[in-house]
Amino acid sequence: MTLWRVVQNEWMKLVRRRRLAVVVALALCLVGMFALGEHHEKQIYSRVPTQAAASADWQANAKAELAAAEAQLNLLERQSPTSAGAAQTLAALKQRVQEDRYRLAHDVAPLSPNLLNGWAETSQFVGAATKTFIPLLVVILVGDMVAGEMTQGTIKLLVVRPVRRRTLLLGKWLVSVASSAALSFLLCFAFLGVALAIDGPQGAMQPEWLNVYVRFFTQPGALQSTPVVLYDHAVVWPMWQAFVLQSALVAGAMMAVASIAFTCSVLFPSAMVSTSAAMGSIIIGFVVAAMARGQSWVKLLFTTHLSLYGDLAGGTAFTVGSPVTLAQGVAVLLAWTVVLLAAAFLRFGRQDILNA
Amino acid sequence: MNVLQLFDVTKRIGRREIVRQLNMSVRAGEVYGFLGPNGAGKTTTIRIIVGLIRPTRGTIHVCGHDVERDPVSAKRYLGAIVENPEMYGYLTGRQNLLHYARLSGVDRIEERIERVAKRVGLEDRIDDKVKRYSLGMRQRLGVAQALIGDPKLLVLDEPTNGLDPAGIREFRELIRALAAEGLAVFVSSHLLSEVEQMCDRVAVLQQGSVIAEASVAELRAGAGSLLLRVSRWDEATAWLRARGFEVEGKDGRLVVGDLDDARVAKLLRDLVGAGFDVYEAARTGGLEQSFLALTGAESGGDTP
Repeated sequence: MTLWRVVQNEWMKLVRRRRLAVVVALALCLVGMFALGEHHEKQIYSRVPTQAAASADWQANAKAELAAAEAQLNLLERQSPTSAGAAQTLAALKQRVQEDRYRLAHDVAPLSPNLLNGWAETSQFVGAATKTFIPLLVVILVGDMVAGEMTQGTIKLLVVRPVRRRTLLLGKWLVSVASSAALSFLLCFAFLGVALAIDGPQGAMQPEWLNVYVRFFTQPGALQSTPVVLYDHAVVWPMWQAFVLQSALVAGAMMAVASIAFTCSVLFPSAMVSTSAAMGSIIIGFVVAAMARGQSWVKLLFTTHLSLYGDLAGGTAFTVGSPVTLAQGVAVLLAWTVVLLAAAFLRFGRQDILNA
Repeated sequence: MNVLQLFDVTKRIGRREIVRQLNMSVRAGEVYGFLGPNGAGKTTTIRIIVGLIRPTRGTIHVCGHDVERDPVSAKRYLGAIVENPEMYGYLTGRQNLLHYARLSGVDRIEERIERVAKRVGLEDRIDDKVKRYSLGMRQRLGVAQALIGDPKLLVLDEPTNGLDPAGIREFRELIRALAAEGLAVFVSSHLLSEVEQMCDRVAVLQQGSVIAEASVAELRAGAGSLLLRVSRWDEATAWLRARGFEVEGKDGRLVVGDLDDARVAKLLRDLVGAGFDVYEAARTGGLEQSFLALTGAESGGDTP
């Protein structure tokens, strides 16, 4: 009951602060830039010569292809592959079989090569943005949730109310994560809207592979291992469904980012310092992850898993240099969130408010 | 009944004792002044009372509830302005009050906001953004937010800082009116005149300790000094000294210290009886004298 009142208050303040306007303006800039890029790319694609539409006979082709692939797969599957090359061949066959089965079962023709798939374009862009722009927007939005009130001095009149400090903090945190999740989720769909408006709505049913496993083969004498995407446990989803999942995962990851920024805002009493600290920790996280690529502990950094969808669709494994699963990503983000929030609650509950 | 009670409150930060063994109590309907030079520990004490700072030792009771052990019950009876009443400038006055009313557990919020806004004379500008308020209006909104939860104790930290004389007067009248309605008011100040005009009782804080506690009436009647212009001033000085008065004489003027009403009357009678002409005699404020004597006067930079 009291918590609900705190949440109402925090929401009122959040939506009326200038920070929200700044964040929305920056987000719109981002959407605009994406639209420009898409427009440009569409013009390049439109120059690709249109081939004779494969519409009528794609199913016959797919059936023939499927039969051939299945036969070949039967032969190869007897022995397990030891080299990267052999694994690659096998994986490609499995992918082909899965794709053709999906297309035939759901009656999904391949896209004509001169058409852009707006869904896939957005998915790719969101994958990049969730590791760069979106966390920064989240930090700007909630990076001073507590520090702002410390700097302004308004924290005093909050703490003297008949409300427990932990209730105040919990309310602030709930509003921080809810607004961050909502912001990033809406942003994903703003990107999608722009892409579909420019590229056209086609591609929603095109296949997308999830839950792939990336295995790293080390050749004797080779310096680097070769990643091979394996499809043994993969599932094929229609693109639109995968995109909704991706947006939800972005929202989830941004809740973790919001929690980290929120903790900074408790630990550093100056709004500017706390926002910078949160931003700095994200940037340093990226830099460290990039420099220490291949080390096993890179998987434990929260910045590695900001694209949780990448954990599921294979992208993260490539950047980390070792296999990653969605469960690992979620566990890492949760662990960071829980540990940092515990620190924030301990600190805020005991802190003497001397200078605010 | 004591609305506010401090028992042996001590706060240590690092090795420094900011305040030491404070014992005070404020009754309903009383304006209690907390007087001391800047840096004496007034703000720290106020922050301890309202729960912003934990005391190292000691307890604080508001209406019988321990502020540290049972903060929610204790703070239900508490309204406060701690230093400047910082408000959310991007919200309107009404939204600010709504915000605080929700946290204070007010039932019929709209009604309460109207009443409190009217009480502080802000009803016309209540829907303006606070960033467009003047300092005086902000101060009034500060009082409004302190009253929003219908408190029994009002804690005010240097409330008239930055107000113009008219504003100070208006504020003083508001505080007296609130006390007349039965509110206990605890108000800190470094201004003697302010405490003298606003308060019923006063505690004097110096270097973290309460060095005196008395009613304003007592302090006012207490030892003061007398300024005299007399004929034959050097002779008069010697004559008074011989009778055991503390006298400083210079250029025809005498300052006689440590006097109360009875001694002043006797001194004037005797002086005239002894054949000295008295041209001028003026009492200097007893309260000020007491205050300066108590605080050692060395930190009187802010004291008028």
